[in-house]
Amino acid sequence: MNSSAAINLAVAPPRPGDWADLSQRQNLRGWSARVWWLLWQMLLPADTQRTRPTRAGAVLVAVAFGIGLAAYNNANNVLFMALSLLLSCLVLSGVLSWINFRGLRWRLSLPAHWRAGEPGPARLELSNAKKMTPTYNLLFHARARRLAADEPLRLPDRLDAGGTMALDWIFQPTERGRETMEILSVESLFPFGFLRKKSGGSLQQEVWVWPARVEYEFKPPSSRQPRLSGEIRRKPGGGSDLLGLRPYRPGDPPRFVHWKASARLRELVVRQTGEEQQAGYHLVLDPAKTLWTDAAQFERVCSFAASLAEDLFMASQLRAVTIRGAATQTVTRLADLQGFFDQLARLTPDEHVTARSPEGHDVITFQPGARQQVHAYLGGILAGTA
Amino acid sequence: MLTLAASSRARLSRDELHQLRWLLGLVLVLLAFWTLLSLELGGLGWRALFLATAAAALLFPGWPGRIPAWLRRWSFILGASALFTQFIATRFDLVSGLVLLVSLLALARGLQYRRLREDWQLILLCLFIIILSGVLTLNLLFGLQILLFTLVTMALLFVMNLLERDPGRALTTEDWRNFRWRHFARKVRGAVDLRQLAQAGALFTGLVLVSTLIFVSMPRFQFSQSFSLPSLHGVAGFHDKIEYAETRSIDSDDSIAFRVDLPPGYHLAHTPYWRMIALDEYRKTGFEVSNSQAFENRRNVIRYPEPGRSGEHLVFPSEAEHIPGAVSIFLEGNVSEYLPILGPFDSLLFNSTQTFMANEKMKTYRTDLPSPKVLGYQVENMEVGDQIPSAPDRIANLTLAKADEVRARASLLPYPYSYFSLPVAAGDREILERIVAQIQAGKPDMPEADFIAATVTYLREHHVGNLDVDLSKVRPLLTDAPPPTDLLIRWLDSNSPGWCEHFSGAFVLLCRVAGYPARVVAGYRGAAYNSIDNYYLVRQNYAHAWAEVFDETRKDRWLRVDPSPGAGVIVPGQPAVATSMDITTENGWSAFVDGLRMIWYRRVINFDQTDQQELVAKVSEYGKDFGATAKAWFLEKWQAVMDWYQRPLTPLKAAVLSALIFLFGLAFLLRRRLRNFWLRASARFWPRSARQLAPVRLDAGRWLRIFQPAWEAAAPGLPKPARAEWQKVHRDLLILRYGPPDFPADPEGTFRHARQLVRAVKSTPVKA
Repeated sequence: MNSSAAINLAVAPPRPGDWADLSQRQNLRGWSARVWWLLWQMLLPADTQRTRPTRAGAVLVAVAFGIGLAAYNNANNVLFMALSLLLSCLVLSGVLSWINFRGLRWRLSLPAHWRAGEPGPARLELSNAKKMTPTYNLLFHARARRLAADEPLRLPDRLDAGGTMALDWIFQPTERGRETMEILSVESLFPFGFLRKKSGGSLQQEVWVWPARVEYEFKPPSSRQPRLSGEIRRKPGGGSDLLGLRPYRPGDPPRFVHWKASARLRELVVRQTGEEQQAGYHLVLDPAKTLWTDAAQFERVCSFAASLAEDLFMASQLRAVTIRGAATQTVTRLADLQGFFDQLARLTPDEHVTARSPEGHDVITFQPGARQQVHAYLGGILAGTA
Repeated sequence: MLTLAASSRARLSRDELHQLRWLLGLVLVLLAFWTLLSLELGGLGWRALFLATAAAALLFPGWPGRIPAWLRRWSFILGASALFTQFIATRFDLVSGLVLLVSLLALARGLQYRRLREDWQLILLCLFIIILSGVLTLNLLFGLQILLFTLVTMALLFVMNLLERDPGRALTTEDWRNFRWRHFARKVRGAVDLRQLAQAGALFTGLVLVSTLIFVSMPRFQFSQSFSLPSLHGVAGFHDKIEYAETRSIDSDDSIAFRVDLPPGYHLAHTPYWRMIALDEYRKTGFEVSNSQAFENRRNVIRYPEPGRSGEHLVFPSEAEHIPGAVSIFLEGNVSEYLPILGPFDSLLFNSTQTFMANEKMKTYRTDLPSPKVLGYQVENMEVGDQIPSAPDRIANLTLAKADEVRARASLLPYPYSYFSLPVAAGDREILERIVAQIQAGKPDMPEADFIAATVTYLREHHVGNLDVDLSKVRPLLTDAPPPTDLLIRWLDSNSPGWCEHFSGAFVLLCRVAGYPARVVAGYRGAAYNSIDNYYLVRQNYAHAWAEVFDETRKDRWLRVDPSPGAGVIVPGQPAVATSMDITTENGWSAFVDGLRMIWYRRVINFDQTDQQELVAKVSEYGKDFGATAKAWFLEKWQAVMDWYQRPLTPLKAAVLSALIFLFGLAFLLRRRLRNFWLRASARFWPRSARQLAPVRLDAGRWLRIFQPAWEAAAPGLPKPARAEWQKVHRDLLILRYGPPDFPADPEGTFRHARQLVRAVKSTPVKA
């Protein structure tokens, strides 16, 4: 079976609480506390609150120092004037930088799930709530905590007042499980490039990473092929049971036209019939720690189960899934399958699996094999290997 | 990438931003070269060439790309050759060589299609050039130039900052192929919002204000001068000798020689005579400083500042009029090394480190070399100079006979006998003696004051003032003999017109023949009052020469005598009566421009610790005055209200009081509605600002800062229903803080709820 099929990932809708800005970092009452906090930050800034001179800034400081030395040495007011202009440039740089950050909000817009080994979209949404001034030259440092992967996200152009912008990047997780995406910091060289102002990103969001797809073989014995069961599903298909009527669409076979209803409604309507249910397979995964002593093999069985479940679902041959110790989940919709993937993403080897494993000729179970292989058994007969 | 911009303004592409960056760099180069034009480096040659080259590159930006490669390769050799030639031409003058070197580097960088790193180098080079020019000239124009430089540099840095992502990008000739200034300017204009321009203007104004604040508040202590700033050599326009010629005319030069800032409220009542140099010895060609005095001029070297108060101290506590306080004098560059002074003073202070020499005997002061830039100094408690104290030396016992005796022994008369130096030729002496006898009119013992007055009268009767003199055709008054060889004697023994040098020189010779030590003093007479900025200025055509005669009666002072016809009647040792010619008033456009220059000297160049203290005192005084005025106003109004309140109750008063109470009560009851009304009204007139400044948003932000940590601390121990309650409050706070302006959540209820939750957490004891 081809394992390249992919599931369309939906972007989670943004929630109102996701916005972050620079105003939520302090819990201080009163001006004096704020002033002291500010002074303390100057002396010992937090790791995410750093202002460091760039090379140009260091040159500026050196030039200012030289001019100041010459001015004091000779009491020359022209030099004092040049020095005061240089210093006021630094002050202005700070003010402009503050204005640049002011009114800026950002939030992460991540998909509901990622899949290990497959690139997935991630998005940082920016909003400039200022009335008149645009925001320029920002660099966000995004990090996948578990993967320890950093992604610099640069604002490519100015963000106009009242405008929004999204910075997209592709993230490729390598392992299933919980991944925390965070905006570590936002930094800027704006406006003159003298100082690199860095501030905490104040944002993190968790995403579950589904197991990676693996290459596998699954050849069920012909005696165990799923057959049509005669059950009708509430899903449009080519069965014989009438589900309802719908307007005619070009290409519909004329034999499906419901002439009486068409005459009554004065437009062509066709019969819509339900799909005949195939029997399908019931996939059962036993996470017992005694069974999966090797961690790598456990990861492999999760991936195998996810890949097999996905492909069976695409072929409409997946009836239900069960993780031993949890309730059996009938799979009729994509959401059911995704729920199974979520379970797999969270799954850990369990020491106390007590539930009885379902049995039957259409039940697929997994057993460890040699050399970290994982075998799939269909009704007790070896049917596949990953 | 999804971009939802609120503005549809055009944006410059990255290539256009690079073009803008390059052009701004060239503007910086132009500014730097402009400042070089103020330098007195002799000839404008290469500076004008550099300026024109940079301007051409700015107008035709594609042109630098067509400079042949071989020229670029050889540019270093060419530059080094030019530098070497400059060194040779200026006799290894370090400053001009340095200026040329930096200018060459700036031009090379300016014409190059630069990368970001090279832009930084260009900025530093231009900064160096501008500061160097400012230090060397102290010109008013420098103030404007450095402000423009700051503006353009900030714009350049801003553009460079936008292009931070591609630091290695340099333009090529291809990038300029289709460049048209008009099209480019239109694009830049389209990309710039007028509001942003206004903001930039406001920020720049703020920058200037902050810079001014830093400038005035920077502590003005001074280290010992461990190194000297570069300086140019000045050229004196004021001569330290008087030479007489057969034919000569004086051109009128109305450029400004120096400006004088008198203490507040003081105005010149008498004609000022600005003494600069005293000439004691008469030689063949005219009056000069005797060798001994020339040595004296350089002997007493004073380095300012010395520990404690430095300068000259009064040795002559005279009854003469003096100017109370400090007189600030700003001597223009290339005027003279001698400092114009009215008379004796208490102390002499400079606005920077300065070496000067004081001649105790002549009471003259000079710097080592003429300053090429404005030299500012302050003279405290200066007398107006009608009487100059005499140094306690042998001059008191000096006589003409002794001088003749000394002359017999030496070719040149040593000081103080130089005060009696006369023409050597016997015929010349005879003419002088004849004229003196004529002046004394048979009274050889006439008092000195009478002799002085009679001599001045004689000179004014026989000569008129004129700036064109031709002595080649004059004949002596009494004989038909050939005219004397000494030109001053020839003038004296004629009716030829003359100018101040003739009158003062002849007067000094006549005094000496009569037995009174006398000397010629050169300097400036008069002043023009700038009524716009309340200061005096002295122009070059106010240059003047007069005489000082030793007071033989008191033997402790020299008396000023001005025998020139324009000086009016002068009683020796008495203040000169000022005429409208001596002190004029200027109030036109040129006076306004010159006033700006004076402000520059007063408030910038001459700003020092004393000015700082005065400024602080004034601000403090103003603050106190304002506070007192405001307090008095408030108390007055309060008293008026209280008076009204204490009067007997009338129907009108009762109605007003009732109305006030009613209004207050109504406002209290409707405070929430009023608040909402205020929010709506402010949002209508100023939507964004209202949203940002709305009290609800501010309150929500404050509550978020309180609520969030409390929630984080309490969350682990909370049961599920309680957690949901916290989450709801948190969500509502976020909506109030960041949500849509119509506030779906109830602000007061949310805040109250948040307060309750936070208090509940704080009052709950921590479980061990």
